Amino acid sequence: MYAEVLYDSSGNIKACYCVDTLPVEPSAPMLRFFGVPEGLTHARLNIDTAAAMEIEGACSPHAELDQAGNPVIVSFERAAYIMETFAADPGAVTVAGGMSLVGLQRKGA
Amino acid sequence: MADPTYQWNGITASQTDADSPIDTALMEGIRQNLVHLKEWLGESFTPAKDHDHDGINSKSVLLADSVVTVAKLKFTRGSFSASVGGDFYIALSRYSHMPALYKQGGVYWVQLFLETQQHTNASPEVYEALVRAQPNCTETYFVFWDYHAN
Repeated sequence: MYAEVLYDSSGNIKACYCVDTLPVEPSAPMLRFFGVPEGLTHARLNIDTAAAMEIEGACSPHAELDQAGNPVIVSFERAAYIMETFAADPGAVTVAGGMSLVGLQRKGA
Repeated sequence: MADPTYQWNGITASQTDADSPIDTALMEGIRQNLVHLKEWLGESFTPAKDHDHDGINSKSVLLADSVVTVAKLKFTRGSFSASVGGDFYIALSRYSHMPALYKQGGVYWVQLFLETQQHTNASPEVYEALVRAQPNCTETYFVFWDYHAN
């Protein structure tokens, strides 16, 4: 899982790009942007295995009971789940394969 | 497709027991069966052990119409989400299906441009779609697309 984000000074993720493929080149951005509000920082995320499993489990199609008690198939967008559940951790920066990656922290933690 | 030169000849056990002669009917039946099998396996192709239907050692596989369904394709989904304004160029896999936009709230405008840009100077090529939100947008919106994993 690969994710690229824009986050504010508090680490809140304001935009998130998420795919299963790797970037085309180590230095090439997968997300380009113009005209976004000032103060946002662009970073690639370092998603550990446990967080990746949580994201996959929460977002893959699964059955739930609706208000009437009927089973329905639901899914959730991964990028939206990352934005709502996690924040960037600018203090946890790692370099892997020539890429600088920012860590994740759970919101409210 | 053409019929084989010879139809299959059923050879019974009584034709091959110890008391039966090796006659013309038996031998011709075996010969015709060998021709039948050769033509069925691939008369025009170069024999190989464990032929793999590559068009060289056996005939290529011909898929009938409507055999390949979506369920048979290995798909995965990419997604982008934001709650700020700006122009975002989203990198898509070359073989992607239908980038789609979903938006929560109705105060701000968000547009998805399916006019993709192809960066031929990148290696491999990069394809992008543009999602454009009003500068002061604070509403969450999603863009998602399905693509072939490999």
